[in-house]
Amino acid sequence: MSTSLHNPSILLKRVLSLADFSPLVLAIDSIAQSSCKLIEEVYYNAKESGDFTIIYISFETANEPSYADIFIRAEALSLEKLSQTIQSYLPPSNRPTKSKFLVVIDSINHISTNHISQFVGSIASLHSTLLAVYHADLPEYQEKTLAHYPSSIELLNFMATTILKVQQVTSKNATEEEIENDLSRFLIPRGLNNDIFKLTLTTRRKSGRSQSYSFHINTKTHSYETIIASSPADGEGNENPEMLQGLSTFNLSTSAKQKMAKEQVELPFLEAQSFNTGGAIVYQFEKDDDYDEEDPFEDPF
Amino acid sequence: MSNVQKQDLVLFSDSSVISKELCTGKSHDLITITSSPATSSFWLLTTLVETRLTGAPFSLNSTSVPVVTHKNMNLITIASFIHNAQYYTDALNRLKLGPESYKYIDLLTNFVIKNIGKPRAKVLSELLEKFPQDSTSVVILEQPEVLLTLLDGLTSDELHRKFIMPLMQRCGLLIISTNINYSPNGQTKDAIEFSRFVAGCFYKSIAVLSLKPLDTGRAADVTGSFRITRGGASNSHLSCHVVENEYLYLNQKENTKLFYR
Amino acid sequence: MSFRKRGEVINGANSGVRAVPGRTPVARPTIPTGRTPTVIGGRNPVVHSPSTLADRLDRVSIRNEGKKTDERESLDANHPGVKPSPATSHQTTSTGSFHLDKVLGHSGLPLGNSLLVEEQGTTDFGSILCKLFSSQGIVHNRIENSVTSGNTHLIVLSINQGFAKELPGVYKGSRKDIRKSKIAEEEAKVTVQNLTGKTNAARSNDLKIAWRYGLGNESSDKEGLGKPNLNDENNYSHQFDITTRLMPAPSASEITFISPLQPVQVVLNQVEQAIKKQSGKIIRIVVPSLLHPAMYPPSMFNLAKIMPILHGARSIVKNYGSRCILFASVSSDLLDELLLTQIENTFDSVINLEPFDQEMTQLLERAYKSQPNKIQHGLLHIMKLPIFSERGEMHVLKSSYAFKNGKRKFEIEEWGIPVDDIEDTEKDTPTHEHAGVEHKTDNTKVSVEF
Repeated sequence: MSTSLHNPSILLKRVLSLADFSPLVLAIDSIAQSSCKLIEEVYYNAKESGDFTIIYISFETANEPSYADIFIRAEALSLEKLSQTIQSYLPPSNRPTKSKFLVVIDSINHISTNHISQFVGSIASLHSTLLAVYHADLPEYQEKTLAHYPSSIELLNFMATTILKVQQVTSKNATEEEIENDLSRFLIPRGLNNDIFKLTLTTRRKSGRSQSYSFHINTKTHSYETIIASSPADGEGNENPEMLQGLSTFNLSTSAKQKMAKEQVELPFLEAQSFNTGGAIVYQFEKDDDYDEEDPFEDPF
Repeated sequence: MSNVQKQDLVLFSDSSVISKELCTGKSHDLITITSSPATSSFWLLTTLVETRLTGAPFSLNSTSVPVVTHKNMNLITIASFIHNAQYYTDALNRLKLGPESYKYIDLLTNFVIKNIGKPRAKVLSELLEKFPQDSTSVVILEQPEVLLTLLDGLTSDELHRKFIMPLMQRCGLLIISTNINYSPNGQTKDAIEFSRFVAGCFYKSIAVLSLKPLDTGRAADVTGSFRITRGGASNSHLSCHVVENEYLYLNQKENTKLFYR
Repeated sequence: MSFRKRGEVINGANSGVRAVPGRTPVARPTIPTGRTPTVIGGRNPVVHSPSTLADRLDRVSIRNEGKKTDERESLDANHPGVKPSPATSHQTTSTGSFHLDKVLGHSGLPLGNSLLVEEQGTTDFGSILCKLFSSQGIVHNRIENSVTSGNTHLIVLSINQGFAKELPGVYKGSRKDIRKSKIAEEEAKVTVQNLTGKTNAARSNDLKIAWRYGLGNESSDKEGLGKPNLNDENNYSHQFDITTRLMPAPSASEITFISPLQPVQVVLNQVEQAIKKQSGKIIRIVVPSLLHPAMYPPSMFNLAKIMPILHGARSIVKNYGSRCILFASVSSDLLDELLLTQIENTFDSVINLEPFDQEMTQLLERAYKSQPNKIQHGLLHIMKLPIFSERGEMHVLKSSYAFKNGKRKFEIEEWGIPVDDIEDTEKDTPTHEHAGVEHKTDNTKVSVEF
């Protein structure tokens, strides 16, 4: 067991197949990469590992997913009613059953901050895992009366035993910054919501200590590839002080302070370099332009 | 721009604008269209109506227009909070689509007089009742976010849960056109509700179509850019997928042309 | 480009009725769409065969018959303040400012459309435009007509009852011009008396002068029978002198005040009642200084308070689209982004005025030292244009125009930063001269200070 914990891929497999007991699995996504692909992947792994009843609670999914055993439309239900409905499908806590339950909520953002912890507590139990999707980019208004209460995401982060954070894999022709920029104007860049995405897995041990790993997930081939976080030393590999030793009497290495200063220098025309399409000169006459048509040497273009 | 190759509009990988796999009665899907006040989506909405009724966006691709033969009003329903029936009738007549071939729900004329002061839930459920219950039909809904300004205390979540979601259930394909004329980072309660509404639409959508002016401003030969991207919803129930694309388009004298960027 | 010629094209199928250009106001086409701005066929008659056009018109009219009531459609066909837009042939009326009419792209504001004038800073150019718009309506109304006593009605959504007394009067020309026009008036009267035996040409020549100054209309009505175009052109848009007042001040029969602070349904019902009461007239709805803190309590700044009024107003303007227009001004600095954009969203056209700051004004003063009447007061940004923007055309045009408000004109011209060269300005470089939309020729006029 302990060895497997140190192998990220095996750990991920265990998490996705819900092999380990984890009452609250939190999936954090954004519109750049929504978590529907992840949920399908969880289903793919879980069905191999055993008998699962999947209860799908829909706040924003209109089409019943093919894998859902029970599909509950939550949009018209009050929170109390919703809790009761879910409870009616779950086994009573004093009578353990063989089959396991997975409760999927497609968007826990719809449950208000002051009810969220109670709601999660009522569902996550020994026999059922709650897989809650949280849209990180859905803005939320903090009521004045809850000014000092933690926000929903803080609460969920605190309670969750496993956190799966989904992120887009940036394609070649779009930088992270451009994507951010577009998204901040309600504009969805191309090439997002792909079959391949990045997943950051954080698991909590019983003590509450957490471990974090990153993967590239390909949902088409169901292959997972661990991203080995490059250590800071590797990142600056091309400048190894030892290589410069003895080459000259000059001091060729840079100190940490110098490096810092170097990094902070803003290169000129960085703006200009961000143009990825060809430029064109568009000239239009303005009232103050003095242009003589008959002068052959005066060409505004 | 005249020498640039004109492009046909394609949304799905089966070379269609509204795929045959949608509106089969088995699924309920959403397409969100975002537009800015400078680049109104009206031409796109009429194009989609035309596509639905005739099978393809003939006026956009400027091929010959077949005559509409069916008289099934349930094929498409148009509902708008900012235009009245006359406006759509005129525009669609121009595309040779008579008023008997679609259903129009006027949510502009006298909406305020009829509805202000009623409980929100009642207004929303009455609105919902106006739409036909037919999971093979298409519904075009123009600027539902206006409701957030008209009904006191209405939140984005309530609007989604009591109107948008049930409406999706009623039809096969819901097309929402919404105006993005505010910055998403507003901190007031109203601003947050608006941003939340749009984000909520994105998560439910299989495709998002965005119309926006060029960043460089007004140009004589380009109206703006038209981007087609995937939304947040799962499309695993479809065998075709959304073809992501970005066109430049020119809207002039009630004609629109698409170009590749 | 006369109104009549266009009218014939527009009506296509039933041009027979319109060919006698309706000096008799009863001779209107009976099919309502003949006059409504649904000029589908008119604009590209080549594309559609005449039969399909007629079919379509029939169909539309059938659809409309049950719904459309008389008071919505029966706009007098000979309204002197209405002509088709040169761009789209929609029926259009003047905003009271010739240059603003031009900037809107239709030589006016098409009927059934609304215009919002936003203004940055604390100046009040917007309300001048409001007053010009209102005066224009009143002046249209006072043009004598053979059948009805009035053709235009003004609805003011404001608690400021004094608005009616602040409306500017028609510009009568410089002192010299006024003297001239008085003579012309006398002459016109004489010609009326000695009508018989005079040639038509001579008469219309005299009247031309009188018409230009909006005078002698009593006679023009009877006289103008043979020359309707001239009449229309001259009465379409007037020039106003903002230092004078409209005399006599508009009466209750010309203007209706409705307080926007009442419950929304009451406001909207009152507006609609007023429109119904004034059947057959052009209705100009004016909202001067929308959400001005002196007039509107803080609670009105709630989305749910103000937006229903505007949405309802849009509904009314569209519903009575053949004879109703809406004009509002607002100080944009006072509103937050969301509220402002939502307000903009309910209007068909939006322009934004950005008055120059002190520095810019000083620069302009230096540059136009010898021609103080050339100093512009600010930039005019176009955000949306009527009809075009709604169709999907992109018409945002920022810092392209500058405006200046003079005693007798609200001028809008293409903007260019003047050359700040003291020597040069003395000589008055020709580059400034030819580019402006229209320059005043007499430099003795000093623009009104703001």
